[in-house]
Amino acid sequence: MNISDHEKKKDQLLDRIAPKEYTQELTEIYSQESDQMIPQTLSPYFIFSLCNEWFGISVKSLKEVVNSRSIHSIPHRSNEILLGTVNIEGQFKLVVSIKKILCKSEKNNSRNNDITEKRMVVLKQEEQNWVIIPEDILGIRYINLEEIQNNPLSMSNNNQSFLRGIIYIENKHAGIIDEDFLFQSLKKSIA
Amino acid sequence: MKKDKDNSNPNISLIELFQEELKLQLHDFDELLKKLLVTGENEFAFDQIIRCAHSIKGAAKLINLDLVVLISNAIEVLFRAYNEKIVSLADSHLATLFDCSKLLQILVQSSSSELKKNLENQNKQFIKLSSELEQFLSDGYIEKKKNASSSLIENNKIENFLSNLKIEVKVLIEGISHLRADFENQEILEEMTLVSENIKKIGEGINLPIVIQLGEALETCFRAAFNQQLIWTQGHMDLLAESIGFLQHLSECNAYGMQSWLTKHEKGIEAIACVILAISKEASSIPAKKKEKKDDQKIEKDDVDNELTTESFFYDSAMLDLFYGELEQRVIELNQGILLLEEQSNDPKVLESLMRAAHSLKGAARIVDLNLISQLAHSLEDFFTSLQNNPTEIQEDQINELFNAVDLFTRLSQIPCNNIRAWIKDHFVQIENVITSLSNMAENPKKKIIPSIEKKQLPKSTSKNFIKLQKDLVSTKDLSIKKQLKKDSYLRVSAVNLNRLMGLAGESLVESRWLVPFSESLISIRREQNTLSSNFNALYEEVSGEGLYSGIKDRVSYLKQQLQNSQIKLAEKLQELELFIRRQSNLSDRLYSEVINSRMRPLADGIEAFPRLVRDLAKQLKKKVQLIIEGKNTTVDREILEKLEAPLNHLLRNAVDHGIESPSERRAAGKNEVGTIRLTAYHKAGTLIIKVSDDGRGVDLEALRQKLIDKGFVSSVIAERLNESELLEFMFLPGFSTSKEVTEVSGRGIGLNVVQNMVHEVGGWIKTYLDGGLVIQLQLPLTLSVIRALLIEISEEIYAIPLAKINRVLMLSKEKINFIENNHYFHSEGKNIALIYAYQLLNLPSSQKSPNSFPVIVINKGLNEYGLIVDKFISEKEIVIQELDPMLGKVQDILGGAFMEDGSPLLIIDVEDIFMSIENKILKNHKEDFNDLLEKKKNKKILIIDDSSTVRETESILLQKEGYQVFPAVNGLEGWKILQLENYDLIITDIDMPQMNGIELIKKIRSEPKFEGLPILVISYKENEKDKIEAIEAGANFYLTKNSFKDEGLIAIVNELIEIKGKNIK
Repeated sequence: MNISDHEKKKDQLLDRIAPKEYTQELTEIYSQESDQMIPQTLSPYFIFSLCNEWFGISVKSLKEVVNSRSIHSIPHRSNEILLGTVNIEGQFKLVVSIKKILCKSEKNNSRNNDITEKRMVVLKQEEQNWVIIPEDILGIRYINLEEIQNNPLSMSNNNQSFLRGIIYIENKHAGIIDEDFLFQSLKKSIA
Repeated sequence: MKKDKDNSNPNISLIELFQEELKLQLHDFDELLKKLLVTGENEFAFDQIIRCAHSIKGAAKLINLDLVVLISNAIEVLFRAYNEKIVSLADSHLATLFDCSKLLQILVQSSSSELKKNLENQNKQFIKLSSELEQFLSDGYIEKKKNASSSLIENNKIENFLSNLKIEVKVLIEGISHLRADFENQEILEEMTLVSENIKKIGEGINLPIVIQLGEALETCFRAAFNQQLIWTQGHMDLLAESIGFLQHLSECNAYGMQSWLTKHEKGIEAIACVILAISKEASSIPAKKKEKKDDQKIEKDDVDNELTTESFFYDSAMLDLFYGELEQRVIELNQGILLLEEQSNDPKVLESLMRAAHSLKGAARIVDLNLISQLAHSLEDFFTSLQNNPTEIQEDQINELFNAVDLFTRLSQIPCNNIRAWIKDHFVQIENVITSLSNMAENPKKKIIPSIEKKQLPKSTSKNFIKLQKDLVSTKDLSIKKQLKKDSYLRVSAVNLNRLMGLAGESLVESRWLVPFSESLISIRREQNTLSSNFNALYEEVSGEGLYSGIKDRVSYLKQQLQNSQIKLAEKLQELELFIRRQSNLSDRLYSEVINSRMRPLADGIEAFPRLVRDLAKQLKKKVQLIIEGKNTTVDREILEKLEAPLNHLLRNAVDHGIESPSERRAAGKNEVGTIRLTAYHKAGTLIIKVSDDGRGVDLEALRQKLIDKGFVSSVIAERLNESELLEFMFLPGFSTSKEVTEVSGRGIGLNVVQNMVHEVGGWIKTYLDGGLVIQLQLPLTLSVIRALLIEISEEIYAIPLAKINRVLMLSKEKINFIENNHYFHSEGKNIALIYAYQLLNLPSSQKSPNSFPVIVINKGLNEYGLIVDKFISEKEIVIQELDPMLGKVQDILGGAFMEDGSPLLIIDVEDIFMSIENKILKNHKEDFNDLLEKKKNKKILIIDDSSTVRETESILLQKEGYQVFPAVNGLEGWKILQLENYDLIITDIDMPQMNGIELIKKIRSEPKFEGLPILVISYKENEKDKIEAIEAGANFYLTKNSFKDEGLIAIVNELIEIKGKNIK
């Protein structure tokens, strides 16, 4: 057998199509295992804090956490929600302050406070990115969606519509953010 | 082709690699062929051979060995056909295939440098073998059919027929049930047509007239429905279902019982077939909704349909895709070749390549069963062959005919693949005409084309078709260009990807810059270490004098040794780091500039269509023109390249239509009959120059001057004074055309304006001059993505202003700033220049500083100069423009962003926007004491002198809203008279007016002492710098163009002029 024969045999061996039953079997195994590993009611959420309150947002909306960097304000556009623009991987992304939207008290609403935070979080919605500046980050936690409680009446009105509900996690109450609602109102606020 | 040129001498190692590959593959190929010789048909071997041939084809394509590609492709296709059982393997095939293998073997054995030459020598042999292979392919089809019908004994034949029928009937039954639900499903209808045709055919196979009749009836019916001539009713359905029922019964008979069943039911079937046929024929005589030519072709129709549909089960979209790819490629080759042929007549090399292109097309069309197209290609090939054998001067109408054929291919390539067969049917007559005249030409290459009989039947003459085709071409121009882009060895990368890439490359550059300060910090650590070491040494010297315990001595010298080692290590590592930094920054610099350059493309990419355009136009106008393109490889920013397309199109059209004279005129003027248009591109001083020049009649300056006067663009006095370049500039005004009549080609007066707009848009400029013919030179920036800019600081953040937009910069001391009417001014070069704080314009917080001198950037728009006060000048820098987040949309006053070396963002100021903001700002400042003003305004009277009532009206309404009293006058003379009667606070006047023009009026006013201090504002169409200067010199205070005056801007200026009435008059 010469080399090209070997090659051929190798190709035949490696390129051969797996038998149908084999594929089927594997498919079944995988589909079962994934069911067992993560019960459907558990979903990963990114937990962070703003104005001494905790919030969670689905990791589907999380792109990355980066070190803080300089923000350039945008003439005619910057306001208490739109802080400006930053360089994320060489592209301009918008930095927004969601305190105004999420926090019930407005005690921590000055712009300078935001910038002193150490990290920035890039959120994504399809192709669009938003950069927010959390005060503290707890990390990613699995949350049982069935345990989400309705907003207690004691919470102020102004952020209720942005939250799906409240969850109790690691001794903290965290508001679960309705990301569609949040992004929509952010979009409105920059238009 | 460009690619050929680039790789005409592929380096030897590539060829060696190819030979290596070829050797391996040929070895397999031979082995497999031998195997086939023994085993006969063998699917595994077929697959292997297809793979071999495919690899050879791929490798040959890489180094542009067309002949090898040709033959390996033929082999691949043939074996695919074996595999699909469309053609059966015969011994004679194997012999030819062995020949192919031997032929290719020659290439393996020849030395790599000789390979190309050997290939050329074997040229004929290659083409012969590949056409033999193709012949097998087409023979195979026929063979197959014969087998199906004649070579078997009678009973088998009937059995065969019945089983075939069964298959077809099954399809019919399925189809008809679908049709009941969805009457007009075109796909099913088409399939049904094909199936019934097949039934007709298998009926013919065993000569059963009744089946043939029924098949034909069904076919006609489905086709009529497909063409939307037949409106379905339930009755139709029932008829069809009944006839299909018959066929089903028939197919369920056995060979012996069939005849008796037939005799029993013959009458019934015949009747139903007749009914269906009658209904459908009646329907078919109604002109089709979509396709009107349909019935003119009734006679040939059966023929065509046979051709178009018999073997059409063998095609799939993948095959068609391949065909399209081939088609596009060949069409370009044909177009280029025919153009060359026209110039150089019968260059054997050109003919050779044309023949090959036509040949490949023929083969490709045959594979996907487009026989008519294959015929068309065949007739082209024949013609080229006849030219080859019988070299004669090619005639113009022959060239036209050739282009007609190529145009048909071009259009074909733009038809979506599911419509392709319908399209061919629709254009049957047209295609047939072209084929006929091509074959006439091939037979009698010297004679003029004799219009064929079909042509007489068809009222549209070739030339008309030609123009129509051309229009189609123009309208689908964009499409074809897009397609061409795809084909080169370029990849299509989405803009998003490219931007991301650019971002990452920039980021990596930023990261690499971080290393330098890091290494510096390490160096300072080393310095500390050195100090430490010398301190330690000093201590050691001091202590060692006094007798120490030997134990301590040893430990101290050990420590000294350790310190030394660590020093050496640190130095080594630092050196390594230094080298790494150098490599890294080199690498990321290169990566970055490469990414930026990926936006650049050779000019050739954007101008492929032009030679053909010029040629067609020239023919249409009966002129002789050659287009010379110089600097095809000049690189151009892809954005600019795209934008250049339309302007160049216009310039070339103009040159052919207006510039180049008719051959007789040229002869009379002692010029070469053939006019020359030159398209030249080159880089000069960091800009891209594109020049379109012709050696035609140029421009009659005097006629142009007269025309300007006639059209009322300028007064005769001014017209006399305009020099060449000023006169030529008028050609770029909208609505201006030197041509006496508007033709299809040009003369609408929009063309040159389009050119001007595009050039201005990208920040370039146009120079026009006469040099023999007319020369139009476009000077454009090399790229739109990199600009030089001045970095400045505004309220503690960094902004950039493009250098190209800055007039000058200066530090202005506090004392020089004057404050008038809420606005700051400074005096410079005899003018008062308004000063505006940048932070105010941009709505940013003030920086709270009050220095003694201010950095000022002077920008100007026409004669209006403004000074922008910023906080700090930083530096000049080359920056790469990045888009801001698209969610923002356009941000007022901001063009885009860029990143500093440390990655921090800066924004680029949009100077055009800034002008608007400034005008608004000045207005706002005025409005601050609006009430005051309004009081004053009520007493202010303005005289508007303009011959256009629209302009008068617009201006009046605007100014009256502001509270002014407005009085109109229709020309200078009337204005002058009115002025004598009453006092006015402001004159607004046009320049071009009958009786007395604006300049004369201004001079008259200024010469009269009693009008001293009366402000004059000129509003004119003329944007020319010279006119402005003339007006200002005559004594006007301000000059606005009608095109550019914005409502608020006008008001701001009027307010200003009235306020400072008398302050600025000489």
